[in-house]
Amino acid sequence: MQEMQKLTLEELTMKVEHIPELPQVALRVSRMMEDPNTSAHQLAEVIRLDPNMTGQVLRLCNSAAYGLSRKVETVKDAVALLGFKTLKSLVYTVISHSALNRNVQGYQTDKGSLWINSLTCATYAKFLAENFIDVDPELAFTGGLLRDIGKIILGEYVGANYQKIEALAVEQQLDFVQAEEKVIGYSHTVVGMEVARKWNLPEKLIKVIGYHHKPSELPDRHENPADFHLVTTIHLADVLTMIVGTGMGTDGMMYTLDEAALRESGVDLEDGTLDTALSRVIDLNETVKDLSGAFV
Amino acid sequence: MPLQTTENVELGEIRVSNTRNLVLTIPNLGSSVALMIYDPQFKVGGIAHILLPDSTLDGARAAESPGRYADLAVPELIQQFSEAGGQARLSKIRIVGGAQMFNFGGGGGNLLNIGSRNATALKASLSKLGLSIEKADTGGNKGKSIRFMIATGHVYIRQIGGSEYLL
Repeated sequence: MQEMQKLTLEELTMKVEHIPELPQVALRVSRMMEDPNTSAHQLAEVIRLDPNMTGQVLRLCNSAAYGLSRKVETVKDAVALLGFKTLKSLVYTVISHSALNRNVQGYQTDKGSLWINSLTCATYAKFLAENFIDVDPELAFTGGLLRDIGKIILGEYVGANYQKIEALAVEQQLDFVQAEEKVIGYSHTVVGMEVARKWNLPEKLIKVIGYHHKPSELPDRHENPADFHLVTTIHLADVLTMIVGTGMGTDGMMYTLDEAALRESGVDLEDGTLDTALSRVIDLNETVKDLSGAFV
Repeated sequence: MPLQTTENVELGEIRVSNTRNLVLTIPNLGSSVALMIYDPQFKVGGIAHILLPDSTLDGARAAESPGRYADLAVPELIQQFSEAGGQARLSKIRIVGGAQMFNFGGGGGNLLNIGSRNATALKASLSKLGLSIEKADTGGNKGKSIRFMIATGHVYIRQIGGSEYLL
């Protein structure tokens, strides 16, 4: 196979430019959610303007994952029953599905495995936020969904340089992200941050995408502890997803655990807490199936 | 010859079968371990897809899903296998999986060595029943998928992104 050259800044910029814009509805919802004055009614009105988004959001609401006792027929009902934040994460779920449900060459062997992997990480992150680390569960869900968005661009370079990346990781004791950066010039986390910026995603999510493999390197972790705990939550969800193995790619488990970050976020590594968490997250694999089944 | 039927074995699931055209698969083994037993004489196969070494950490789940934990899954699999006509002592036992994350600096608590803890716990549980592993393909840092053919007992392994080989 002819070896692909490094990814240059020009190429990266061009590739990010070629990524389709987010649908208007997603941008508007994202901005509205950052604005504390947004009402549930306004949110429902914006989602309603996009028939495709409305259809998918309603299918997700009616999936067994949310266990609602009656059928949700309008977005307004959905906001009333599930709340603001859940609706926002559903909008992101729809966006992530269209971005990630594809054959990501280089990292994946099957179409859809990155999508199922991301949905699993999102579901585990929400669970961790509800039970182990005090962060907003819906934000954790969204972060888990989007963490690996950079792979959709970097995949072709990883495919062409895979042997080199793997060899370098093993020889120099680097994790896959560091080895990507050395061999290709950019890692999927850095590329992902560029995609997130293009999509005007909130800063918190950009941090998740950039630092989910190494939360303790987050530059403003002391100034913004809430963001740091969010990134750590996604890191741990990512690790649990690797251990469980759902939708695993060619990068496999070639990553390290950021013990310092976990300790700083109050997760005890020695007392069996994580084994228990692992024992419990398996229950959520049904939820993941229900959510993915809502996409037709 | 009937067409093959392929069925997934979920985490925590235990399956025993003598259906010749059945292929049992696990598409994604991370740190979890697939334990397979096959009686070549009666052509009975059994498999358990195990994620954790020890059930005592989570009594509530252990009662509902013994197949998740090595200490409970092994006797349960062997019992079901025997009930289906398999002779455990004359059977081939194989394990696959148990991959781990990189752990360059050591430490990392129990989470990082969960793959090897699973393999160790499986061996210990088998040994209590006087059984031992004939072949193992465990460890490493990559995911694997497996296909377990009930007709022959063959186990095919594919490392994610690699080509398939016979264990």
